[in-house]
Amino acid sequence: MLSRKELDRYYRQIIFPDFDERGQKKLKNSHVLIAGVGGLGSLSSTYLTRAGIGHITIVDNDHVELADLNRQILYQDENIGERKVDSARKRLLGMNPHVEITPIFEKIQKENVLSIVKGAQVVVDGLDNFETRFLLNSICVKENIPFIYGGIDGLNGAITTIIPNKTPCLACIFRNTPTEKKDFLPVFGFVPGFIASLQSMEAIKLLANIGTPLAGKLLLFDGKTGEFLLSHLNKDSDCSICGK
Amino acid sequence: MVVKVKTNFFGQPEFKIENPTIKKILLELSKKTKFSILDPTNGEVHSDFKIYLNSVEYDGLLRGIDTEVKSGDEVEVTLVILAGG
Repeated sequence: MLSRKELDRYYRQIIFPDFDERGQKKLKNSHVLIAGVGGLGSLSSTYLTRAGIGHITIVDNDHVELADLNRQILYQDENIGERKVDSARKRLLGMNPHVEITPIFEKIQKENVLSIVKGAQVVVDGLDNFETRFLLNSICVKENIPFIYGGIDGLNGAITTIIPNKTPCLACIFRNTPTEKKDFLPVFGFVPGFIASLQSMEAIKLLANIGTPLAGKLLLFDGKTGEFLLSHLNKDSDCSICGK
Repeated sequence: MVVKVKTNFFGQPEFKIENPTIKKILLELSKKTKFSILDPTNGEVHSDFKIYLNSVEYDGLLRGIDTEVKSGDEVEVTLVILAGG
């Protein structure tokens, strides 16, 4: 049931024809996990909070640093040194008091990943490294939870929605990915902003069952040329995570 | 000559190219996908792709992207994961 205040707050999305009050109720009864509240997670948590997702869990084990502020829009100078999940929770509740925000100040690892994803209906990627992404991908496939991958590098961004047992998983797509690590990737704030906006849309589409998700397709954006690549992906039958 | 390219983002397209080189193949693939795998400003390979000829990365080859591709060679163009967030 939506209160009068909620009906007013969400009015502009409730009047969306395929969504209406039923869609809003679905969002209210949903639980989304946002893994990482950095550049991507700042934006996706903002949009999903404002859209009225009933319960959002945010996970991050970092503290706010000055070099985060060009893109991590949840934080300001006064938050430097604070745990990101604590600052983020306070800021998000200020945007929408009807939402429950659960902060988890932990690094996602093999030992805790199952308990972290348990209960979430959708997992939104806000991570900054591929090892944890592959770990989340693997547990989401196992637990049958949709995983919305988003990644950025410089002026480039990519997104795909992984539906376990239906679409290729991250390991199917990036089987031969090189494993070299970079400590710091170049980034302007609008690139994670753009990708996280699409991730938020994907989450809402899945939860409210509207439109067609970007499932089995990967969208790559190159900001330097303004080009988009929409690639149709194939499942890898030999995939170590989801192959038969 | 017909060249088959293995990709992780566009299936395994085939191109008919005379005296094929890696560069010619990438230009054809760019045309087909409508996405510049070679940077139009400097001709360099887009940073989100790795290019292999018979499992050797192109920049390890003597002639780089101008390396000729022969019948039976395996060309692979791989989109790498964007890891930042």
